[in-house]
This record gives sequence, structure tokens and C-alpha cells, in this order.
Amino acid sequence: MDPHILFLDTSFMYPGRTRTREWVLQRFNLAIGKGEFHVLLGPSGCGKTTVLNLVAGFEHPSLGEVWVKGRRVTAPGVDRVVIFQSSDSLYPWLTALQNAEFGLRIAGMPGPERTRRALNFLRLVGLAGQEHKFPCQLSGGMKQRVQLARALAGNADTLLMDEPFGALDAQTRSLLQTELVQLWQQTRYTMLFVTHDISEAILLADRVSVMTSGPGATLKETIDVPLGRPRSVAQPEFGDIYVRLNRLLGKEAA
Amino acid sequence: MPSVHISDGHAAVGDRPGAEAQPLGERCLTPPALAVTSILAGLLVWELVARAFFQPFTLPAPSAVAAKAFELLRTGNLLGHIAASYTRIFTGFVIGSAVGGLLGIAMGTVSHIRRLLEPLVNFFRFIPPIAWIGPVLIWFGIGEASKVLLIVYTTSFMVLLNALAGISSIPRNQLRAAECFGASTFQVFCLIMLPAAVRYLLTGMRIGLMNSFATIITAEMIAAQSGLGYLILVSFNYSAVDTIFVSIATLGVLGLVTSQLFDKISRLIAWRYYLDA
Amino acid sequence: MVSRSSAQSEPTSSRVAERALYYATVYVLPSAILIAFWDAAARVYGHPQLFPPPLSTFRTFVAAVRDGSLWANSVASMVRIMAGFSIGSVFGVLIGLLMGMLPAVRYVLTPYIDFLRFVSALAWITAFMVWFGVGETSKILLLIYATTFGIAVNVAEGVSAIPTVKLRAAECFGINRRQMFVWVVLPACVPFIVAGMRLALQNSFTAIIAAEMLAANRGLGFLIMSSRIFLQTDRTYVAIVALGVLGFLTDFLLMRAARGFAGRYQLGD
Repeated sequence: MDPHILFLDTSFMYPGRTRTREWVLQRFNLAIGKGEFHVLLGPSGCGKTTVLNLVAGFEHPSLGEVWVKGRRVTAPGVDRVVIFQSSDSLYPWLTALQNAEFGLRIAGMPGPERTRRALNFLRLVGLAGQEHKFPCQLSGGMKQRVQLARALAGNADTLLMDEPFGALDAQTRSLLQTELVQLWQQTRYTMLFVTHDISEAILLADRVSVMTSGPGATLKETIDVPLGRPRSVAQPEFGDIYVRLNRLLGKEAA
Repeated sequence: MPSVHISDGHAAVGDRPGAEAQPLGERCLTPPALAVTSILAGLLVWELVARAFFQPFTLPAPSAVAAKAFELLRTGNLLGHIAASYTRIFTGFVIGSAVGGLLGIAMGTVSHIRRLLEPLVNFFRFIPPIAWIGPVLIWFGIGEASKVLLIVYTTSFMVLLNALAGISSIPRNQLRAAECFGASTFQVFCLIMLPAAVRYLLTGMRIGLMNSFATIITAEMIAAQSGLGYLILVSFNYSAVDTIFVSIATLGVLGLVTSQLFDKISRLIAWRYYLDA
Repeated sequence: MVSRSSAQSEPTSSRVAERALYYATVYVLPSAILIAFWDAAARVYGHPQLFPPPLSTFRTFVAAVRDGSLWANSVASMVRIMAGFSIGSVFGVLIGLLMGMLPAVRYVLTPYIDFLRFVSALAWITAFMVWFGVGETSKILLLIYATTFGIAVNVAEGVSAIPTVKLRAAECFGINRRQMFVWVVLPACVPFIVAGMRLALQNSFTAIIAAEMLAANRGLGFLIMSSRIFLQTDRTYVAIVALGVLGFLTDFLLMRAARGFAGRYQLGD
């Protein structure tokens, strides 16, 4: 089976900084299957977001290639959608509903239909009754739910999540993690989820890829998480995987 | 309009930081009673000092200024001068906002235009608008066109700089989110850049309006037969300090009221563009 | 930023050429277009005396530099600005700090400042001339007025914007009032002081030009007005360009100095 997302010897440095010769990524290789929940784990500042931006098409590899569904990524596409870490990607002058409708509006879907569709997804992410509030009236967790609804309402089959729960408190984060897994089980999106939180990685992932610390980061090791779902930190296997990932990551932390 | 907290964290060009928030009084929570007391006390001190130490033709007491104001109002020419100044400001303000807004948005969205115009803008912004009165009077004479043109210049610059700042400060993620959904350049312009620029445009217009009050006075002092600036200069020639005071106070009140009114109306109409993320 | 990165890496000849090309396109091209446009407009207008073309303006500029009149008038304006601006800055910072630190001062002064910031210095010109004559005193006092309020409002704002945690963190170490002022409040206000001074500097230019137009026999404002009366439009151009250059230079130097002395206090751009 062809991988859904494929990195082939991808190296990246920011354009215009070629003089300092500082690679963000160096010979990065990764294959993610269709419908897989893949978590990218690494120390902060190692280039995880860059990996995500390469898949999204925001950045372009300096060397090597990035493929999605058998086609080279050259630009952002409607089949891939990003959930950003900070909610400043929501438009403050639009209500939750209007934000969720945004992708459909771009696609030119007529008003009543897109409202119905966006409302459905707002309900799905647990925001029923909040649709006429503005981002500034929503909590951090709710804003991330709006981002999720906006992403789901479009026609993407790939969700790229950049530490989406990083700024939330522990309870909200745990709740959203559970809901995200349920959502994924219903929809079978291909997920690329970036985090530096080991527990989060184990709770969510089919497979976890650990990155080395930058500059010139690359993939260190990919491990399977052979746990049934729903998962909990209380499972004995959880601890084993945690220790293993912690050891892998520990050598990379400064 | 839902009851949402509208804050003003954005930095305006040409204004003190956070100036749009509220007047300083509200921010520092000066109780209104204290503010009134402070003003009354100040007026009292001024009255006593003026009566005790000064001649009315150097420093008139507030009571004398008030009397003069009523007299000028009754004889009618004060209202006429106000109307003259206001007409010039308003005409120039409308044209200048349109010109500055269009240029600022064009510079913010098309990088070639920005690269072409930015050095010129950076140079001209250091020339006080009032300095142009020399050439403008030579080109267009001492009629209304010259004064309106100066106001156009005063306003358009502030609007331009703020519009540019507004578009440059759009968070990158907002643009990237739109890219994810395959937005065209035109869609990005209409759905993100314009809405994001609204509050900056309005702030630029308000600052331009305030600066116009400064420009018009000098312009009217130098070349006009009407308006508050003209009134000040004529009063100076007759050493009528009380009339000068009336003019200054009128200007202050007009500036304050116009600016506050503009701000209130902007927020009432465009409230959703003042919301924070 | 540009200069910093170039200092780190070695300058090579290709790099120098690249930057030369960059500056050529970014600065020279727009200027060339402006001058060409100006020349065309002057030809269309057809009255070199009323709307002089670039070349004759340049000749006037050279003449004004040679006979020293440009220099003398620029110095006259700059001396006034520097005197008024520096005194006004000191007053502004002091009043602002007092307003920020002492609620009583804030309560008393706020209503006045909120009103007076709508009364531009230009409105006071004639009143100042009545009180202090048409000489240097009234002009410098006018500039002090133009400077003080803007800075005071900014500094007061800066004091009230200090996050409570910063003050509490200092209190944890048993800081006294004087230490709190010197180590916490003053440094936290620096960006606001600089922002206020920058704005005040621009206001000073506007105020002095207007004052010199109305009553002076020296200065760039005088140069503009006197040239207008004699229809020497090219001389007003020269004066305006000189104003722009001086405004740009003083702003540049102020920011340079601010970065040099206080770069660590997170100044904006």
C-alpha cells in the first residue's frame, strides 16, 4: 500500500539563510499510512512544526521531496488542513459559526447549505449553542474546538495538528484528547499530530515518531503503540511505552 | 451587539500607544466627581490669579472669557468661523481618508507597490503638513482649495500609515488557514485583509482628524478670511486675548467632541472589527 | 537588523554587489520615478517660477548651501527644537512619573491633559506671542508645550501598564520604594518614554514651522514663508526637503540613542 504521507530524504533550511548553512531538517524520512494516527514527538524547537508546514505546503523542501497521496506537495491543498497551536488563526470579527463556515465560503458553497453543514460540525465538536459567540468570548479549549470544526467542515482527509492542546489546562486537554480520538475513530482521517508531551503521544497515536533535537533534526525512531482504545494512563503497558519514549527523548533534551 | 469586551491592544501609528482604549481618565479610574472638582479648582485659581496679578488684555479671567464667548456667539460670527473651519476639515478629511485608505491598502497588499512607495512615504512623513502651505498657496491661491488640500494631505498620511500597519500585522496563521482552504488572492483580500484593516483605517482617520484641527488653524492664520485660525490671528492683531482664549477653548472642545464622537460611531458601526482574537 | 546580520558574516564582493542592487532598486528607483514625474508635471504646468522643475530646484539648493542661508536657517530651527524638546522631555517624564506613581497627581492633572491634548500647540502661538513676545522665549516655550503633554501621557500610561506580577515579584525580595522606582518602574517605562519622545519630536517640527511662518526672521518656516511672498517656489522646495531630511535624521538619531542606551528594554520599531 502506498503511504498517505511520505518524506523522502527531505532537508530544509529557511530560504535566505543559506549563508549560515543551518539546516532545520536533514535527511528526514517518514511514511504515514492512510487513516493512521501518527504523532511526531520531539524536544521543543527541533523542527516538528517545520515537518508539518512541509506537508501543509506552507514551506518547501530545500532538498528531497514530500508526497501526499502519491502526489508531490508544491502548495497548500484543500485535502490537508492545519489546526494551529494558537487560536489567532480564527478570525476575530467572525462568530464561531462564521469561522466554521470559512472554508465552505471559500469553496463557494451557498449560504443555507454551508450553515447547516458548519452547524453540524460545531455540534460534533461540542459547541452546540455557542455558534453565535465571537472568539474573544470563547475559552481556549472552545477556540480549539472551533478550529477543529472549521477543519472538519471542509473536504480534507488529512488533519495536521500543531500542538493544538499545548496551551490548555490539563483537564480540558484530557477531555479534548478523548474526543479527538473518538472523532478520528468515526471519521478515519489521516492524522499528523505534533507534540512534545509523551503521555499525549501514547494516548493518541497508532505510531509515534521521535525526532532528534535540532538543528539538522532527523527522525530517531518510530515505535508502535499497540494499545487498545480507549486508553488510559493507568494501563500497565502505558508505563512501559512511556519509559521507552522518555529514554529516547531524554537523550535529546538539553 | 453582544456584550463583549472590546479592547484595543493594537498599536496605532502616530498616536500614543493604547490611546484608543479610553480617555486616560477612565483608564486611571479618576472618579468623575474628582475630575469636576479638579477642573473647578483650576478655574477658580485661574480666576483669582488673573484678577489679582494680570491685566485683562494679557490674561483674562475665565469669567471674562465666558462672557466674551457668549458675546461672540450672540453676534453670530463665532458660529460662522466654526462652520468655516469645520467645512474645510470635513471636506479634506473625506477625500484624504479615501486617498490614504486606497493607497495604504494597495501598499499593504501588493508588495511591488509597497516597495515602490515606501521610501517616498518614509521621506514625506517627516515633513510637517503645514510646511506645504508655501507651495500650495503658490499653486492654488488663497482660496478654499489650498486649505482643503492641506487637510487631505494631513489625513491621508495618517490613514495610509495605519492601513499599512493593519495589513502588515495580520497574524500569519490567519493567512495560512485561508491557504489551507484554497482561498484565491482576491478572497484573501476581501475576507481577511480588508476586515483586518478596518479598525486600523478608522484609527488612522481619527488621528488624521485630530491632526487636521492643528493644520487648519495655521493655514487659516496664514491665508483665510474666516475660520477659527483667522479669528485667532485677527484677535492677535487687536490684542484681544479673550477672543484668542475663546477660539482656543472652542477648538479644544470641537476636537475633543469630534474625535470622541468619531470613535464612538466607529465602534458602534464596525464593532465586530474591534474584537480581539 | 540588516547591519547586525552583515556584521556576523563575512562581507564578500558578491554580497556587496547584491546589497548595492537592493538599495538601487529600493531607494533609487522610487526617487527616480518621483523626479521624472515632478519634471513632467513642471513641464505641463509651464510656469517654472510657480512650479520649478527638479534641475532648477537643485541649482537653488546648491546656491542656498553656498551662500549659507540654508545652513543658517536650519540651525536656527534646530536650536529652537533642541532647546524646547529637551526641556519639554524632562518635564514630560517627570510629570508622567508623578502621575503614574501618585494617584493624587493623576486625579488632578488627568482632566487637563485629556483636554489639552486636543489643543495643538499651533493654537497657542499668538497667545504666547502676546505673553512672551515674538523672540526666542515664546518659541521655545511653545515647543515645551508641544513636547511635555505627549510624553507625560505616555509615561503615565507606561507606569500604569506595568504588570502586577513584576511589582509583586520585586516585593517578594523586600524591595523599598526607592529601589522599586529605580529598578522596576523606571526600566519598565523606557519604551513608553521613547515612544512619547518620538511623537513629541514630530510635533516639535510641526510647531516650530508654524511659529516661524507667523513670526520669525530666521528658520526653515521663515524661509518657506518669505520665499512664498517673493514667489521663489524653488526655495520653498529646498526648505521642505531640508525639513524632511532633518526630521528623518533626528528621528533616526533618537532611535539610535534609545537603542544604544536602552536597547534591552524592548523598544518597538
